Amino acid sequence: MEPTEQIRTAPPHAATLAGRDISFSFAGAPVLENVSVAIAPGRVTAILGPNGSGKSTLLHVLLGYLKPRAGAVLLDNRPLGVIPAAELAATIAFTPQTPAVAFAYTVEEIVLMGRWPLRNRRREGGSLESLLGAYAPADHAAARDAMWRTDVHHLADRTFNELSGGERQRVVLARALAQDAPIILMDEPTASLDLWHQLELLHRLGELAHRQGRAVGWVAHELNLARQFSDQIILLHGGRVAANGAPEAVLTSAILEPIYRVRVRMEGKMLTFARREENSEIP
Amino acid sequence: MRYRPAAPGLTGLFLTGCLLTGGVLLLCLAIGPGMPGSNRISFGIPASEFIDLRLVRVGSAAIVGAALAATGVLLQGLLRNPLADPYILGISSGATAAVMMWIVWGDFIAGALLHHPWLAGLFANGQTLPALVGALITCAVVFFLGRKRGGTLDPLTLLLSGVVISSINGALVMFLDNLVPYGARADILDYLFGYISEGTAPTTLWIALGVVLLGWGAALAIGGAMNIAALSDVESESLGVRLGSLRAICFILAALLTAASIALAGPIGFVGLICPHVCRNILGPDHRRLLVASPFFGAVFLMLADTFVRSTGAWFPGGELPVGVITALCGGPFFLYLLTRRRTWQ
Repeated sequence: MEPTEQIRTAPPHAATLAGRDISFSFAGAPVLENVSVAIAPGRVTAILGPNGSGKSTLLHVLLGYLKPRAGAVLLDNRPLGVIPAAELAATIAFTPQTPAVAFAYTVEEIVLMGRWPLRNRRREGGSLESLLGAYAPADHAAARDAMWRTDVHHLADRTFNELSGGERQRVVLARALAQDAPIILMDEPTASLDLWHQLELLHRLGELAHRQGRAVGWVAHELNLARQFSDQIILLHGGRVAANGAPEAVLTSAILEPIYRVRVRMEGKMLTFARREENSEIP
Repeated sequence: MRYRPAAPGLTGLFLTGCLLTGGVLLLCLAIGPGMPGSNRISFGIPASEFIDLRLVRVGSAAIVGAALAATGVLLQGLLRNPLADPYILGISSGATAAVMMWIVWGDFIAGALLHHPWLAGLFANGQTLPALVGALITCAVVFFLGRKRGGTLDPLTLLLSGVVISSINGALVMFLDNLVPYGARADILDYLFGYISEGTAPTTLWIALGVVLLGWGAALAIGGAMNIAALSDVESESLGVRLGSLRAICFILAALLTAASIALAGPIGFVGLICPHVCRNILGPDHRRLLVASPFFGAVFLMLADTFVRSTGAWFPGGELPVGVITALCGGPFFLYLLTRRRTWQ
C-alpha cells in the first residue's frame, strides 16, 4: 500500500477560530483573563507560556470543551454554542498532550475514530453495518493514508496503549489528519517526540497550513521550534496575553526575560538561555 | 491471541450468534425429559405440557443472560472500566430491594393504594414493574451522586457511589427478608441468589423479552459512539460525541435491561461481568461488536448453567441449586484466572 499524496479532492473550507475577551475560572481561581486570540487559516499559530499560564485551558476553551465565564469563542463569527456538535467536530480536530484510551484498541481503530464526525454527515448506506456505526471503505482508506503520513502504518495492528509516548502522539496526529478538519489544535504535540519526528511533525503542520490552507494551532514549549515553525506566536503569562504577533516580534529577550525568569540571548537565529543568578530564589 | 480488527463483520457475528443461541436453546429443551429431578413442579401436570414449561424456563434463561451480558458491556464502556457490572453499581440490588418490598408489602400496596383497576393490573403481574422502578430509582441516585460539579459524570465517583448504594440496598433486602414469616423464607432466599423458574407467567416473560429486545436494539445504535467515549473526555467531545447524553442513555438502558433480568430471575451474578470480558478477549474492545456478541454469549452461558442446575436437582437434598450459585462458582474463578493471565483491564 503506497501513500497517496492527497486523498481529499477539494480543499477544506477555510475557517477562523477566534476567542474574544475570554475569561475562565477554575474553582473560583481565574485561569484566563480577557484573552483575545485568533487561529487563522493558512497560518501556524503557536501558543507559548510558562507552566500554569493557561495554555491548555485556552485550547480547551477554543475547542468548546470548557465554557468561558465571560467572552465568547467564534467560529467564522458564529458563537460555538449555536454550532451543532457534529459540525463542530468536523471543523476542529484536536490532539491531547498525553493520549490514552480505555481498553486495548488498535492503532488503526484509534485513527479510524477521526472519521467518526465525517461518517455522521453522510449516513446514506442502509446496511446493518452502517446502521451500527461501521466505517465505510473510504474511511479506512483515509485512515491508512493518514497513518502513512505520520509514519505509523507499520503499527496499525498494535495495541495503542502499548506504544511509547512519541508513537502515540504520531497516532493521534494521524487521527487528526484523517479527520480532515479545516482547523487543527494540538496540545504540546512535540513533547515526547525524538528530534527527527519533531521536525517531521512540525514540517507537516506547516504543509497543512501553507499548502492546504488549514488553521493550525499548537501549544509549544520549545521556544526555538516555535520560532522556526510558526507564523504567529501567542505568548501567555498569568492567564493574560503578554504578546501576540510574528515570531521575530514576540520572541525577544525584552519580552521573554521577565516572563520566563531566565536570561535570553539571540545568537544568529537561535535563542539561547541561561539561569539568572541574581534572581535565583533557591538557596 | 491477537484478534484481527477486520475479521468478523457485524452481520456475520449476528448470524453466528443467532445460530449458536438457537442450537443451544434446542439442546437445553431436549435435556431432562420428565424433569424428574425438579422438586419445584407439581407432578400432576401432563407430560405434553412439560415442554411448554421448559420452554418458559430455558427462554427466561436466554433473556436474562442476554440482558445481563448487554448491561455489562454498557456499564463497562460507560465507566471505562472492565470491572463494572450491574452489581457493582448497585442497580441489581436496587431492583432486588424493590422486588422484596413488593413481596413483603405488595398485597397491602395493591389493595390499599392502587384502587384503580388499571394500576392494580399493571402491578398484579409479578415483579417486572417493581424491579424496573427499583432499578431506575437506584440509577437516578447513583447517577446524581456520580455527577461532578459541572454536571458531567465522573466514572470513579460513580463506581464508588455504586458500591455504597449497593451495600445499603443489601442491608435493606436483609431487613425486608426479616419481616417475612420463617416458613416463607426459603423461596425468598432462592430468589436472592438468582433462580429461574418454570412458573413465570407468560405475560411477564413477554414483557421482559420486549424490554430486552428494545434495550438491546437501542444499545446497538450507540456502540460506535461508545468507542469514541473510550478516549479522554476532551477528545470524545472534540469528535462530536456528547458525553453527557451518551452516559445518560447508557445508564437508562442498563437500568431497563437489569430490571428485566431481575424480574425474571432475581440477581444472578457474574454473567454481566464475565461475558463482556470473554468477548472482549476474543473480538477486541470494539463496542459495536461486543454489543452484538456479548448478549448471545450471555444467553448461551445462562441456558447451559440453568440446564445443569435443572438436571442435577436430584443430587442435592435441598433440591435444585439457584442458578446464581453456579454462575458465581464458575464465573468467579474464571474471572480471577483471566485477571492473572493478562492484565486486559488496564
